[in-house]
Amino acid sequence: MVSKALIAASTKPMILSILQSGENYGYQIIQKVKSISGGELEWSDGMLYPVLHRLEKDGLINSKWRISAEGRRRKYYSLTELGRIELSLEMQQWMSVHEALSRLWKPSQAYSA
Amino acid sequence: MTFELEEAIRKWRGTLYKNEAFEDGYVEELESHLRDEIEAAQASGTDVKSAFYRAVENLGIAEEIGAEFHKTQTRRLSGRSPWDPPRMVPALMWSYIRLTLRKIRHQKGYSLINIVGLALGMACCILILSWVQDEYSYDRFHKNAHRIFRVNSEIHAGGEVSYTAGSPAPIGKALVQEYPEVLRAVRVQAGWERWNFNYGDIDFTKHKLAAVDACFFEIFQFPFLKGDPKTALQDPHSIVLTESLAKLCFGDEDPMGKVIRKDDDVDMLVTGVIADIPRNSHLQFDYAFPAENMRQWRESKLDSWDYLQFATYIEIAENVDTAELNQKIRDIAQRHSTGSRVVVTLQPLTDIHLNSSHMNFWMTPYPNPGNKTFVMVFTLVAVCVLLTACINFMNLATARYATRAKEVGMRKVVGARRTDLIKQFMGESCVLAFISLGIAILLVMLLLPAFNQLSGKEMSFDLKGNLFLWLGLLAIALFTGLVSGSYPSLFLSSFSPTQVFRIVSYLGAYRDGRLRKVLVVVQFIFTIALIICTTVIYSQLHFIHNKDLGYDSKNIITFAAYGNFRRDFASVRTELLQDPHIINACSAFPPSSGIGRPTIQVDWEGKDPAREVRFYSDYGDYDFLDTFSLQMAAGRFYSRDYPTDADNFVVNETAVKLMGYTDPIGKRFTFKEKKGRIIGVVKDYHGGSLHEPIRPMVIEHGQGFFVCVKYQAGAAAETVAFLEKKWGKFVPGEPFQYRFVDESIQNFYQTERRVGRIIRSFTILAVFIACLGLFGLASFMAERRTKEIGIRKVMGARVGGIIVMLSKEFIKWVLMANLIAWPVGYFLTRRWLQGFAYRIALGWEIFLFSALLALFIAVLTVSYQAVRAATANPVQSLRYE
Repeated sequence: MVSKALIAASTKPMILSILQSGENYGYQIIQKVKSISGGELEWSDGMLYPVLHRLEKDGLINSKWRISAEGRRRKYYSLTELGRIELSLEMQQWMSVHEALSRLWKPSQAYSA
Repeated sequence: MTFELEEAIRKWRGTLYKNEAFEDGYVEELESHLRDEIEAAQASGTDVKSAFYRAVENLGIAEEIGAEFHKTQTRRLSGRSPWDPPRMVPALMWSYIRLTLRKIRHQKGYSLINIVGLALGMACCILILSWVQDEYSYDRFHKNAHRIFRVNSEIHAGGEVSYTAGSPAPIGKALVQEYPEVLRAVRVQAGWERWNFNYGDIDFTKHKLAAVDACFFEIFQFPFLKGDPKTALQDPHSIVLTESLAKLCFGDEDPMGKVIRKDDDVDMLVTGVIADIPRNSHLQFDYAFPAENMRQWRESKLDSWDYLQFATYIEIAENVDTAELNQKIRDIAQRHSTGSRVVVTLQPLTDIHLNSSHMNFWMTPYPNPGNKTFVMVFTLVAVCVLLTACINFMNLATARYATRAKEVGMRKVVGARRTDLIKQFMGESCVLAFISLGIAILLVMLLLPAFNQLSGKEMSFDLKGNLFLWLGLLAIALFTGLVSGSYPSLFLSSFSPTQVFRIVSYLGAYRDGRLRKVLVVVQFIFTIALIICTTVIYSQLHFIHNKDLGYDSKNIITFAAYGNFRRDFASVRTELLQDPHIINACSAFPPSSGIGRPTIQVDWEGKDPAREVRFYSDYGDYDFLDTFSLQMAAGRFYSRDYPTDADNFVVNETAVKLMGYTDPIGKRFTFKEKKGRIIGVVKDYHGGSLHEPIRPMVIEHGQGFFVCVKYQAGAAAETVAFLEKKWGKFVPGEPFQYRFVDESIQNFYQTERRVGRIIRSFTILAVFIACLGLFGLASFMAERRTKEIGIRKVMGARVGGIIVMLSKEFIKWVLMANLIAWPVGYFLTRRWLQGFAYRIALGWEIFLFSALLALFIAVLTVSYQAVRAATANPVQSLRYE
């Protein structure tokens, strides 16, 4: 299980990454996170929505109400241009953290470098 | 019971809607999520009921989600949650107002003192500020007022500089030609009377003229009711009347094209009618005509650089650096006329009213210029009076706080925050302030006629259409309310409930009310300073009134010497003296007509040729000395027994001192190209007002423009009747206009007396307001110490001792206030007194008097309560809980 703090920190890049492959709605996003992480990342479902709203307010994503095939109203979110830039910045940051940790966890390489 | 999914979702939605953080869209989105989740669970075989509950559980607690939603809102500066009501209108406002009204009903005396004090203070403040506003409003009604300047002259001669509003007659033309930024210029003589215009039986001798250049009405935008401002004065024989003068002459007939006669030989055509000149215009006139006319009539030298009898006004372009322009034109008179002693400066039109008292207005009389110092002092007084009233309010409110402390405690216990309490007390004092404002407005309406009489203004209290005044009033009320409420509210609300409920601790805090003492002291500083000012002004006026001017001004009538009064005064005089009431008569410039006319063309035996001095001269004939009861210091006055006297001179003592003679009689003396000898020295007397020092004077032998008639005391009416008859005989057709010399002298100090009266009224009011506050405080203190006094009396204290005990503290405060009020009063009054060449000394008596007066008033106020408390029966005060 991943800690709460880490989940909170990773929510934003996670959502942006999922939306990169096209527009989506809340329930689907959560399902995707669950399946990708193999259940390791467990979000409290309700908490996703405030985050989505904040991202929208910050201009990183757009939302649109649609009627789905089953006739249910769903709010679809999609990435904005600003969101794409934000995502690439997030990716760099996460990758540099990832690399640093990877090196630390292989002592011989880390010290020789 | 079967599970109804739709019903369950409806209920769930209801719980979400209760949370104010959710808006419609949010809940719908969550519901959509919930349904997806339930369907997915059902698809994998779970029953509806548990699918629903699991989905709800997964979504999380409504409050937490709500809080997260709230965080996504833009952060407000106030930190207020979006679902809280806005704070401009406190939720409990009506409750506060109700509470305030209840408090007023319950504590009638206290509320009365509070409201009346505030209302009086506000009424004073409104009156004074409208006076100040009126003083600043002069000449601002011209749309281009900011671009109009008057060309003033400084005349540098004889080591002195004199200032005049007149300027060299051709200067306007020169300025327009030489400086592109000067657009237009106009010469003006305005305010004179006695020009002989007439329309049928109606003559204009009592109406004021304006002799101006043609573009006058283009620069000064007095509104035209008929005619065209651009062309009205193009023709030299045109005349423009004010509405009332036109009405007087022509009634309801159309005035345009009518003919007004001048001197029964020149016809002037009416070419325009303007609205009556507003009171706040420094130019006052009833009719205007082109100045070109005066060339024929008065041989005016309209092209001479030495002719300074016209005021010149210029209109400059927008955005001109006036300081720079002022520098550039300073020496224009010297450039055009070698040897000219005139340096010109520009004065903004809007500055003229308040900044002209040091100027001579030879041909454009402006009898009542304003005074910047007075405006400043009055503004200060207004603020002081208002602050005194506010301080009162604060004092009384804090003094009563013990009775409110429990209320504060209660409110805190049941959950009032500090901000709520501050709001409550501020609100309360604001409500009181607005009630006071209402009363103040009524008071102002009531007092305005009296105030107008006092100030010589004609202000009206027009609430309609005067947005500025309205906003000002509201601002004053709000300011008063907030300032008055600030101390009690911040102070009271700072207690913790436990403190408030422990009686001992708040009694301690009450005794320690250091700030309140400071407030009382400040209040008395204002009051004492005002008393000092009033005392000094009145002492100075008294001093002026009783000062020996060196001549007798009583029982003397003067009038202009026209007709035979001028041509053949000797025989007229004999005729006048036949009347038994008339003691003496002379033809002269009476001392009351001013300090005399200056000249530097003076020479005497042994004068250093390089030295340049100014002498002043007045005319006087043989009887000048006796008519005014002047005293000789040496030699003799002009006498009919010495035919050569007409070539000689009588000077005053100051002139002798200046020339450095010990024995001046017989010394050669040249005055304006007339060579002669000094035959007498008259004792110094004050020509003009006591603002001016005594100048070196020459009394020239000859006739003045005025006839002065000395009559027997108590025979004024008979003398006037007799003179009127003679006037009708010698100057037929002209109205007889006369003045009493002592009245003219009093007129020099009209402004001072008026200001003195105003300040006195407001001092009395300020003292009254301060006393109200003191009275309230004293009664409160006496009340709080009822038991203590009872016990003291039981133990054997005397009434006198208790009165002293109760008054001691107040007396201490008043004495302390004196320490600061004295220097303040000294500074203010010294500045004012410096405007007088002859003035009272600022002795300690004045300050002591003010201190004693303040002390007396304070003791009187406090002692009523003190005596009442001290003489109360201890049995009652101790029994009462």
